[in-house]
Amino acid sequence: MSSIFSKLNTILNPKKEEKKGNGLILFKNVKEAISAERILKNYSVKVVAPPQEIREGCDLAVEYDLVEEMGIKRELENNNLKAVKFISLDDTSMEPLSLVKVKEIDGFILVRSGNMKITIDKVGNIVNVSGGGCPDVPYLNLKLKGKNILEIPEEDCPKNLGYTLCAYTLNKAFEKAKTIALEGTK
Amino acid sequence: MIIAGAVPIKGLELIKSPIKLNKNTVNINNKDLPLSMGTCALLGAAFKTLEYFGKEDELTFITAGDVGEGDGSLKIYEELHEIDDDLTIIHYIKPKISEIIKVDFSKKVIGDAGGMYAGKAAGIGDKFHMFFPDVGELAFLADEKSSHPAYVRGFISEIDDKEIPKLIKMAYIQKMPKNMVVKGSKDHIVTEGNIIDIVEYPKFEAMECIGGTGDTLTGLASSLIACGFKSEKAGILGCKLNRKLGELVKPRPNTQIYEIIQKIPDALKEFDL
Repeated sequence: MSSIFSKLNTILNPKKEEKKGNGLILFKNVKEAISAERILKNYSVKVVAPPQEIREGCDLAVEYDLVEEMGIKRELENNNLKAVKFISLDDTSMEPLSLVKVKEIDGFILVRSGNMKITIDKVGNIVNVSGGGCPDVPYLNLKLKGKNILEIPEEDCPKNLGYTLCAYTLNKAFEKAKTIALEGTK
Repeated sequence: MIIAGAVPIKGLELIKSPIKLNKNTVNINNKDLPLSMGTCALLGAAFKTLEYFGKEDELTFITAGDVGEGDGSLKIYEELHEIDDDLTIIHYIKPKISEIIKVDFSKKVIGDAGGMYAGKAAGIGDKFHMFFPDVGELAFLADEKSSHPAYVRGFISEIDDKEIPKLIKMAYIQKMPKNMVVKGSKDHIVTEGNIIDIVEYPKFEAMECIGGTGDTLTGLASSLIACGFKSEKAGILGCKLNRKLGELVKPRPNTQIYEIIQKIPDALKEFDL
């Protein structure tokens, strides 16, 4: 019995220092949060009570390592589990970067999202990928470089091959570059 | 000098070994890895620089395969619990706060890419000897609430490139390494929060597109430190050499990083080093 109380105490009163670098996935209901914990058993996740400022009642959320966001999103999607929101516990007002900048250099298009960059030529060939610090970035670089962005199948996009926040950010740049390449063909 | 970082080969077991460099591949334990952006670009630049000074045998590579799942990164972190070299660079690795705090910081440790992300997120930036952020990563270092460059508060991420000194000041309110090089259209060399030099020319816009140009800068500067240059001087020289490489290669946005790495001995020669 005492272990149940201990577990409950851990959920309701998490130690503050454990939250650094973590995020929270909010679900519509407790059942979905518990299902998510099961589905995400290979990731660093745990069911927790959301912080007071975003708590809506007797709800539970899933705490996760922010770096693993990309893989987690894909896993939930594959299991038809829709999260209401992903937030950073470093500051609950923080959401992933959405700013994307585009620059033309020597006839090529450089698309930058946060710390990630992708460069395409005028017909959509990916000539370079740069930035980031997570280990799936060099992997995505090898997978994407030399291919035409318009011919890359959905399953080979950064959001489907990557696992980390760098891949998530790269995917934003990738999507924008794809739109630009598509417009160029019209 | 140790370079620790993951390579994009799924399932590759932990390797701790010297390396050989070919034109566009790195050879480690008879396995050829592409000399592309990330840890391999850093490795290539470091090898070429150390080779120029006759010290390439002093380079050790600690790596494991990791395509983002974190398995290889964990093996690399474990290997860094005890470090027996004067200088270590932690590069592309899955940022893990619980792991970076176990690293042996009794000797000089430089953080770049995931190694830098983890160090900042863990709040132990001051244990590192040097960081190499670009402007986007500097915004992350400057945001005391952020633990990854993808989660930086909007008002900081939108700060213009011209406001780098402001971001540096904000970063140094927190725990940061004594030395920092901020890579960008102007490179800022920082010691204890003060900008000691800015390197701006020659300028090649295409370098921003090429995956690995930041990695080569880290490789050049770190190797110079390993060869006995003071960190401040190595930072400034690294920036100047990286730009000299641009001048020698005349880069286009589709230039590949191995083409740039090949020119490192020529650049070093031009600086009479």
